[in-house]
Amino acid sequence: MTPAARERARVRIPLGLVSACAWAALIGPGGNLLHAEHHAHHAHARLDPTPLADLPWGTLALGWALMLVAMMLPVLAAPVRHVRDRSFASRRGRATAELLVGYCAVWMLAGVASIAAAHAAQTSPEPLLATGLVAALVIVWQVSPLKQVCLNRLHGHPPLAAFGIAADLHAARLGAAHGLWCVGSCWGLMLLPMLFASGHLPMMALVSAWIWAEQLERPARPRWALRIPLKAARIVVART
Amino acid sequence: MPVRRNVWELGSDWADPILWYARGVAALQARPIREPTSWRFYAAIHGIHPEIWQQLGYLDLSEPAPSRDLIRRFWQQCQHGSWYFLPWHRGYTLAFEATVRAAVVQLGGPADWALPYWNYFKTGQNGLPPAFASADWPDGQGNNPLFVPQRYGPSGDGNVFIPLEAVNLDALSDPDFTGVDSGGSPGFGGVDTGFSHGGQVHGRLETQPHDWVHGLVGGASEDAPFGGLMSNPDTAGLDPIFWLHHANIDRLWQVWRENPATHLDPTDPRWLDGPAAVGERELAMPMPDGTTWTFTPGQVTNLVSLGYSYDDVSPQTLEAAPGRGGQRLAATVRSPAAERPTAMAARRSTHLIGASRGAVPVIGADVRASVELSAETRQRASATLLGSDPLGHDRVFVNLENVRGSSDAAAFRVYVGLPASARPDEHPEYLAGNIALFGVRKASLPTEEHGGVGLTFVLEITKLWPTLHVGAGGGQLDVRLVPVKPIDARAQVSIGRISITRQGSE
Repeated sequence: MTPAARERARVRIPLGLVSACAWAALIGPGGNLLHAEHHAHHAHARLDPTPLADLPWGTLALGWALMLVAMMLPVLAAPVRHVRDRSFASRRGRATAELLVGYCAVWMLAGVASIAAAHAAQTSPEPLLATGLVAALVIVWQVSPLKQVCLNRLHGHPPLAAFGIAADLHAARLGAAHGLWCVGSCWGLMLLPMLFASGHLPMMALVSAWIWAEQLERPARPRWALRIPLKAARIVVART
Repeated sequence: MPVRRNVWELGSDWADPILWYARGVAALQARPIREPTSWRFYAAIHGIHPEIWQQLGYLDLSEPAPSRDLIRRFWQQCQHGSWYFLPWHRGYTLAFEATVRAAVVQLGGPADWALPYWNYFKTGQNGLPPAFASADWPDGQGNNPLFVPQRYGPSGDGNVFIPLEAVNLDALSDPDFTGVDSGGSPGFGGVDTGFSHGGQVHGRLETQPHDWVHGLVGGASEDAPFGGLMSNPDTAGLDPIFWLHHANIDRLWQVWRENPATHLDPTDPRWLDGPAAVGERELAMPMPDGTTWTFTPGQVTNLVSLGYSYDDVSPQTLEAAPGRGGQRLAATVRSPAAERPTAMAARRSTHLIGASRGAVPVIGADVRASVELSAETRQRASATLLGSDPLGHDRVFVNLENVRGSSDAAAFRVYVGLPASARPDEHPEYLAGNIALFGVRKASLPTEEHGGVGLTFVLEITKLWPTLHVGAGGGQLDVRLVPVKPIDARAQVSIGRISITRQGSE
């Protein structure tokens, strides 16, 4: 393994393990927080209009947090590595925690909006139409120049203060900024599993793979474009 | 077998290899840009900026462009900021040489014509080879294709030479081909950037002398907002001296490999198989017979199998620049890192030990900054009798992080620990190294591959560190930046943070 690959692995492996634990929690008993297979809604085979409405906000928040950890932690390797590489050794743990707090804070706020949107869609008089409209909005955002602006900002990392309160603020700010650009590029994809109560976990897995693949692509000029992240597929082909 | 020879040792200013090169360049320049074996197509393989090319008269939007398929396959392919830098440029130079050779043969020239190289480190050879400095052919006729007006030199006055105090061969003493981008050595050949195409940190040979020669030859001028052709990655391939410079860089790779023979190219499959192994475009060059040569780094490590050689790959030393009091240490002096077995050298970790408290704008002729050392570093230094921080086998680097700007032509020397009242040019012993901003403009754009955060430069100061007496200095280290030419505020050059890192055993 090259020295650089070793440095990357030092961060990727712990993040991957924590993500795997979150997946296990979601697939296991805790997964009942998010999908309603255990509810008997046989008449509406594909869409269950009620599961979110049934769940208390605390449960929803926990479920959203688990989703976040499961799906997003693997793509946080680069900013986590940056904050650890560029902080004094005595501050690394603290800086990492501050980054993650900043990042999660932004996503938890986004979670409120996402859950509210999914709830509204599912409880509307025309849930199918409402869900379709939300899905259409997600697709429009996916191909928009603004999505590319957000994706571009996720590459490369700014300088960080090394001392005192400034260092703490910079780490948290990096996390929050990364969260903001991440929300900007991924909000639609993260919303999709919320719209569909059944098949929630497979959809989460697909979305995770898509998000991971997207962040591998190079920055590009923002424009309207169908962005299919093929680089990940090329890597898989090259490796097999 | 073609032998690449020193351009200054061919016998005369217009010796046959140079004359045939000029004729070959003229032939390629006569071909339309849509032809893959044309001059401009080959330059665009390195990089192209349509607006700048148009302004300089290298592109006319009314002329037919190459097909989208050709552009997608070949253009903007330059590998920089990664461990693919050297093998890609080897293949690029080899394919270009074959293309010129084919043109030379068509014109009645020798079938074993080879590209000369410019070894600016050799005594008396740091000036621009005369055939490139003259607007005329040897018979006095104008339109010498080896001459370009957009070559401004270190002082911006058109006098092109490499100031020897601005370049060094320190990279040749790095024992490892690949390194890290976390603040320690990026390695002789550059960083394994994983799935990313190119990173913020250039390898040691890429940084010095490669980037420096680009910046010093291209230079900048009041009339040229984009700098000379060689200063900008998107125009560098248009200057015929580019190829002699890269032949030398390629030769220095071979020098490193052979001196000593314990210097090894990577064996990791991701290097051997090239960027296609990490989902990027495969390395591909158009050949004179109309075919496409696709290659991997693993296929370009052996010069014999590639069918060429150099007349001289002996260990390089850098002579003292004439008339200067100080002398840079010769590259044959081995750094502490070179003493370590390679296996142990691979297992090192990098730690931040000092940083500036804010960004450093680089404006004018003398920029001063201060790096504050960590409490631990100060304590360790003050605990010793000498008031120095004992390194053992560790290495120390100064990092100029997130260097951004709108000019690739800017370049400056970096001094660490120089007393405030001292004149930098009288104290080369405090010179950490030199930074040329080749590629910084592009790296500062949000739509380009670095997301707009600029480049990070790493200079080794291991030899300098014991003399700095960091404990006695109250924990602050002065850093002085001395531009080759005063940097205008309009160039918007800034350094996000200056830091000191220590790379030691795990």
